[in-house]
Amino acid sequence: MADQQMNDDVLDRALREALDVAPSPDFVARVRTRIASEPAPRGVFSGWMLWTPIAACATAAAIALAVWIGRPAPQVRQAVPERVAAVAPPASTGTPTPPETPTPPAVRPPSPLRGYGATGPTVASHNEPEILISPEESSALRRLIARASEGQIVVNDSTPPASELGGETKPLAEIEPLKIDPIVSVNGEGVRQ
Amino acid sequence: MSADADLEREFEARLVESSTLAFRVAYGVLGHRQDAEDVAQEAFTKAYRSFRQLRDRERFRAWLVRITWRMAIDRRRANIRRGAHEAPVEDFDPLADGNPEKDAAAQERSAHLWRAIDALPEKLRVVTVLAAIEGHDMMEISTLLDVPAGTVKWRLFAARKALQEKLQWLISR
Repeated sequence: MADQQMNDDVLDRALREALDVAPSPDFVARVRTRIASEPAPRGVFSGWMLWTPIAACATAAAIALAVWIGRPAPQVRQAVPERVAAVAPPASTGTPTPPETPTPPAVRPPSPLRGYGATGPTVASHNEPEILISPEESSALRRLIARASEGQIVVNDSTPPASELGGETKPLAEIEPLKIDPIVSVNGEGVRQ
Repeated sequence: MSADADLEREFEARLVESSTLAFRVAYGVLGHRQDAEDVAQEAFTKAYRSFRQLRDRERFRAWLVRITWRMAIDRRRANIRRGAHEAPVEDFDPLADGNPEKDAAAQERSAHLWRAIDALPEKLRVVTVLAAIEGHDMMEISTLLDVPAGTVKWRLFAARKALQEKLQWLISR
């Protein structure tokens, strides 16, 4: 036990002596010089750690605002007023105008994917009115209205009906009623034909 | 501005009181004066950069010891990779007293001691070094390393046992 204690003491002394060294006298001065070249210690939320997130947020907000302002306004269905303007009679100039050549509306071919779950573009269908009248029929109506307004066609509903024109109606030919002779039996039997 | 000046003054006081501790911790790992001073200087620089974030300033010494120890270990591993300082003992020997024969013997003892210290696992070596410098007792080492006192006691016991086995010839003289 005493030997063990002596061994511990010897070892501790050897270790203390081995580590009993001091830094050079100018060590602290060199550390001061090194620290002086460092920027002053700052808090956690100071310097770039504070301003970088703020700048990033401001940039993101500016981009979002620019995108929102530059977005096209939602289109009101303007096709209806265009149709009305097209149907409206043209200004009367006294000279007959040739019939308008109808411009077929740009109809997008139906997408085979259209339907529930279809992923095809469907934005254009919201901007165009539904087609209720065929282009030929619409063109004919426009021409009819235009000519009627110019007086080329007189729409007069004064023609009396045939019943008001007088006179009795006579059939074109007289047909005598059909007569059928009764069948006469010979020797109790019918006539063989 | 006043807060920054106070911070600077406080760090200056910590530097003066802890410079030898940081140097000795680094020296206990590296066994080389110049390397130990370089590492201790870098440890103080790192501590200065983060000094404001240290909530409990009373724990500065423990914080500095851990920083210095980690940096010294990194430096030692880098030295080993480079093949430099394979023998940690340098020309400086605190046991030398001017007599050539005695100096040679002291040099030999010191070399053996450092080799034995170097052979210890890191956890055992750090408690051995801290126990040997500045008269740290077990509770102080426990505080510095932030490990339970019982763990420090067991590690010191294991380190002493390993060193005694390696340095039996030195102890029995």
